[in-house]
Amino acid sequence: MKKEQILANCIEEIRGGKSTIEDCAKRYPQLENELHSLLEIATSLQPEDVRPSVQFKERAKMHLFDEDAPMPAKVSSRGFWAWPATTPARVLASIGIAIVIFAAAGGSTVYAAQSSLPGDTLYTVKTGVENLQLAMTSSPEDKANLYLKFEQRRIDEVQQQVKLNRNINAQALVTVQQQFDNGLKALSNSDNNQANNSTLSKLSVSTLNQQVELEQVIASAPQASQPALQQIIDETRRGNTIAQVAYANNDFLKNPPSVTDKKLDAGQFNIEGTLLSIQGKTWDVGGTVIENVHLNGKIPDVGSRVELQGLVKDNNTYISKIQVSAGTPEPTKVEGQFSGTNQNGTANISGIAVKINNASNPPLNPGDKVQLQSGVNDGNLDVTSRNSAGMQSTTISGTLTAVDTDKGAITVKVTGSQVIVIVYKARIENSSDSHRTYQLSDLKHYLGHDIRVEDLARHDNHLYASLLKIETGH
Amino acid sequence: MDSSTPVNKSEDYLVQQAIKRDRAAFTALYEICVDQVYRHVYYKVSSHADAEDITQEAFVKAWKSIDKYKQTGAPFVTWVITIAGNLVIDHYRKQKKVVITDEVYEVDPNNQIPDPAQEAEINYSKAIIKEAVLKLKGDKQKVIIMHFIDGLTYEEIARALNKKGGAIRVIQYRALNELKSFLKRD
Repeated sequence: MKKEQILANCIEEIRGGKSTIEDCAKRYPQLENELHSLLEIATSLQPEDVRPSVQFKERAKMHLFDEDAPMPAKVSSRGFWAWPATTPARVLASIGIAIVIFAAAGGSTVYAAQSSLPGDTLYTVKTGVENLQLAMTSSPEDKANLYLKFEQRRIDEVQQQVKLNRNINAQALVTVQQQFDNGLKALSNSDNNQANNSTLSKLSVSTLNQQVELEQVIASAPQASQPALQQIIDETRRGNTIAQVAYANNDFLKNPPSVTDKKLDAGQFNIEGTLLSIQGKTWDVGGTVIENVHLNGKIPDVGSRVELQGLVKDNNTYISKIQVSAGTPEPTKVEGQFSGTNQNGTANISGIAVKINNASNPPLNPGDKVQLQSGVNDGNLDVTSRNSAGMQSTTISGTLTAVDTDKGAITVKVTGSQVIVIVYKARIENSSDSHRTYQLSDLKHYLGHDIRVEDLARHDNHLYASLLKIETGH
Repeated sequence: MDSSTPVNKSEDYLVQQAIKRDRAAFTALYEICVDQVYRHVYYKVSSHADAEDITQEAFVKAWKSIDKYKQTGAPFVTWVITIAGNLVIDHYRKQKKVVITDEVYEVDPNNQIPDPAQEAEINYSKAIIKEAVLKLKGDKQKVIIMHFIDGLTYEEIARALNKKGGAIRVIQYRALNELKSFLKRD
């Protein structure tokens, strides 16, 4: 089929609501990029919702048959601008106001379109304008920012729809996912790590807020909307994970991740132990071997004690956080999600092969979140804690950078952004000793330490938390 | 008009009658087409006052020359739109491209208060795309406006421009590529 025919077919399918730009373009891989950009422009071409006034229509009708008149009688009332062109006031004004007023492009339509929601007549105007903005944007960094801005709009629309008791359907899910993934794909095309990190930093905070807000509205949503809403929440959570990992390790974007990839949920891990050896990209931490390690930064010395946080995806291990201290003989600890037993009998914990003392542990179920601990460097671990798969509360892990006892708030640095959380009602614990609780003022002694903020909620544009855990290190 | 009568058949009948100088038939055609002609003209001139003048003049000219109208299978409105398009060109020649507007926008009190930044962004984007469309020459501009703004099908446009449907799709493809180059350059 000729490409002009393919383009015409795609335009008709999209206008008829039978396809999207992404879906149609993907059907023709050789033309995908060209089709994508032309379809962005085509969908931005929208008729304006303008109509002649009833008064004009009636007056013009009366003059339809003024055949003998050399010119039709003017029936419009122009006010100021109907003055003769030679009037000094008009001449002066013409010179002074040789300006194109952009609002002339269909003022009332624009007013209505910007607050329109999916299913509204004017919604296509809103998305059409967005596609135009994308079509006009060349640099991958700017394009990524636009996609992620539109992703935020889609989330806002979802919330508005819930408030109006409208159903959230699978299409909402698809559009959120497409904006996310297109944004990540655009970032993967950029070599500007500084600009990428700025975008990822914003994405980390925006997805956190989105997740918290949606978790609050899901309870009041119609039953039929809840599965789609839960999937959107899952996508925002994965978006947050991607932002955090990619911020620390730009390699992660080389093969663009997708927020629909459920493996991202299972691939997150923490491991702490003595770095016994490094061979190429293979690290041995306390007897547990980690393959294809990607670390952005200095490689620690063998023999030191390391605490690693990261994600395993497609057999690659991306380190998002590393803490190095002097090597002391202490147990190895692993935290992650069990997803099955490997052929060699090891347990698959977040993509890492871990040797578990089967004799002393009850069998694990896939999806279980587990904490394991071994003796010193023997590589055989016991399960010390397990939680079956289920709803996870939204949490932030970052560095405590400020404590404001007057306002009852703390500031946590997460992927380059400062996040303020109101915590005056929160229980404050030490992660290694949950029986001991602290006052907010005690936190001033832990500035610069890692902190985990749990059970987040959002009211009046503020984040609130009910549980803080200070990570005091070992 | 009997609402159960198919529009195309009744339109054909009205056109036949109008050619015979039946004022009532032409008035009925005016009622059918005026909104679409007005929207087309407004897209090009961005001024309600000018759109009113040009729309009215297009219908007056259409009545004057209705005996020259040849039925090609395209909707009658495409003929009036062609007349209006020529009047828009005359209008710009007279205006010498000085764009003046005295628009007053009606704000629907039921609408939510818009975000000014978002409103400006949408207005700006719409003006940019319109400016680019109006830069297209000849059939490229005609095809884009007839298809996307006037809502005509490829076949209707083909009949109106006396071309084949495939040619219209080729023109559309080239026009969108040209718009892409305008937008990227701007």
